[in-house]
Amino acid sequence: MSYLSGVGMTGGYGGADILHDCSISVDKGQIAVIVGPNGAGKSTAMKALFGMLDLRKGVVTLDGQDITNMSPQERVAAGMSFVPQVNNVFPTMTVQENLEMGGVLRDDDLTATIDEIYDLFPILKEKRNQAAGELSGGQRQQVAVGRALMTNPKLLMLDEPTAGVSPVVMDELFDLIIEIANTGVSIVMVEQNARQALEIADQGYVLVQGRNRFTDTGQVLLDNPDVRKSFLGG
Amino acid sequence: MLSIALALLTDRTVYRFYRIKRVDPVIMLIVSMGVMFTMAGLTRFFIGTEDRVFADGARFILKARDMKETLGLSEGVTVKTSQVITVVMTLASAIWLFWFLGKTKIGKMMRAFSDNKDLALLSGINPERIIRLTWIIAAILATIAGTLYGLDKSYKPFVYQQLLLPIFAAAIVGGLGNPLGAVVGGFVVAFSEVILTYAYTKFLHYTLPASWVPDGLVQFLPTDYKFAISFMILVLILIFRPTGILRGKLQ
Repeated sequence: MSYLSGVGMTGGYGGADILHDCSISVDKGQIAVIVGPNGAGKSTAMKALFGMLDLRKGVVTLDGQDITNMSPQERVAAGMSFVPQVNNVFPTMTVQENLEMGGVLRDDDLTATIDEIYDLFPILKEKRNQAAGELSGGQRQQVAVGRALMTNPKLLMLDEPTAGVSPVVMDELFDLIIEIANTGVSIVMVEQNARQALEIADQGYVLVQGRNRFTDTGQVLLDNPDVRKSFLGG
Repeated sequence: MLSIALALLTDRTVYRFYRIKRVDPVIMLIVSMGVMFTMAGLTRFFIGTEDRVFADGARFILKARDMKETLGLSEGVTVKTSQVITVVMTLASAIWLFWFLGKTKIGKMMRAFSDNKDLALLSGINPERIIRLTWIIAAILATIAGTLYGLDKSYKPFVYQQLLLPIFAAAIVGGLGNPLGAVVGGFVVAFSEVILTYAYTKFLHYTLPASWVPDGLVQFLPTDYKFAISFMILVLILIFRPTGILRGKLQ
C-alpha cells in the first residue's frame, strides 16, 4: 500500500471536469513525478491530492487513512506540505520569518528545525535577515521549500519547483530534492523539465487531458519510445 | 470595549460576506463607505451632533506667563497637559504596535496573512482568528486616537469628515499596508499643512530688520485651504510615486 495515493480522482473547478479517473500514488521516501503537456491537469492533480479541489469521484488516502474530505489545513497537520508554483514565499518578511511561518502549527521550539533547514540550504543562513522578496528566483524556491519543510512533513508536494530558475540552480534543486527524499520524506512533484525530472523519479506519471497515459518507473518511461517521441522531444 | 464589540460585529455581519466571496478591493472600499455612513447615522442617533469639551484637571503643564518669566523670553511657550498625554500615548502605542508586529508569533502571522493570503492558509494560519484580532487592535487604536483628539481639541461627533482626507493621504503617501509608512506619511502631511498655512509675520518680525517686515499675515495659503493641501499631496504622490514613499502594496 502506498503512503499517499489518490485513486480514480475525477473533478474540476466547478464546470467541466479536468481530471478524469486519474490515479497517483507515492511510497515512503520515494519521488513521484507528474509530467505531461500544458493543460494536462498536472497542477490540478496536485491540488486534488492536497484538498484544494472538490472531487466528484475518487478517494485520497494518506498512510492508509481516508483523507478525501479533509481541508488543506487539516492535511498540513496530518503531515502533508505543499509548495505552490508561484507566490510561494511571504515577500516582505525575512527568510527567518518565512521559515517560522511554516511552523506556526507547531507549539514546540522551532530552532532545531530551522537549523536543519539552514544546513540543507546554507545560502539561506547567510540571507536570514533579508526580505524573501529581494532574493533571486532560485533562493526564493529554497525559502519556499524550507518553509514547507518546517512542519516536519512526511510528504512534500512541489508544483514546478524549477520554473524560472537557471539550469545550474535547477540541478542544485534536483540534488536537494533527492537529499530530502533520502531522509524518508515522500515527494510528489510536477515538472516541466520532464527528462531531468524522470531521471530522478522512482515513479513517473504522464498525464494527458486529465487522464493517466503512461505510468511506470522513471527509467522505463525515459526508455519508452512513445513517451520519448511525444513528450521528451525525441 | 464597546468599539471592539462594534468592530467585530460589523466584520461578522458585513465584511465577512464579501471576504468569503473574495471580492475586488474596490468593492471592499465602497462597502466600507457604506459602513461609514451607517456608523455616522448611528452616532447622530445615539450621541447627537453637538460639541463636547472634556475639561477636567489642569489644562496646562507649562503656562505661558510662567515660561516667559523663567526663560526670560519675550514670547510665551505653552505645553498643554493633553499634548503631553497625546505624545506619550502615541509613542507608546506605536512602539507597542511595532513590537507586536515584528516580534510576537501572532503579529508575524498577521503580517504573513497580509503578505500572501493563500500561502498563509497552506501554512495552517487560521484566517478568522487573525482577522478578528486585527479588528480588535484597530478598534483599540481608533479609540485611543479619538480620545486623545477629544482631549486636545473638543469632542465633535462628525470631526472624522474633516480628518478622513488627511488620514487617507497620509496612508497613501507612506505606502499602503506599511505601518512605518503611515507614520512617515502622517508627518509629511501634517507638516506640509502647517508650513503652508502658517502665518509668518511674527517669525519675520524677529528674523528681518524692522523696516522689511510686511504688514500682511505672510501665509502661503489661507488656513481654509488646509484640506486642499492633503488633496494636492495625494495627487502628486499618486502621479509620481503611486506605491508611496516607503514601498506599499498598491499595484
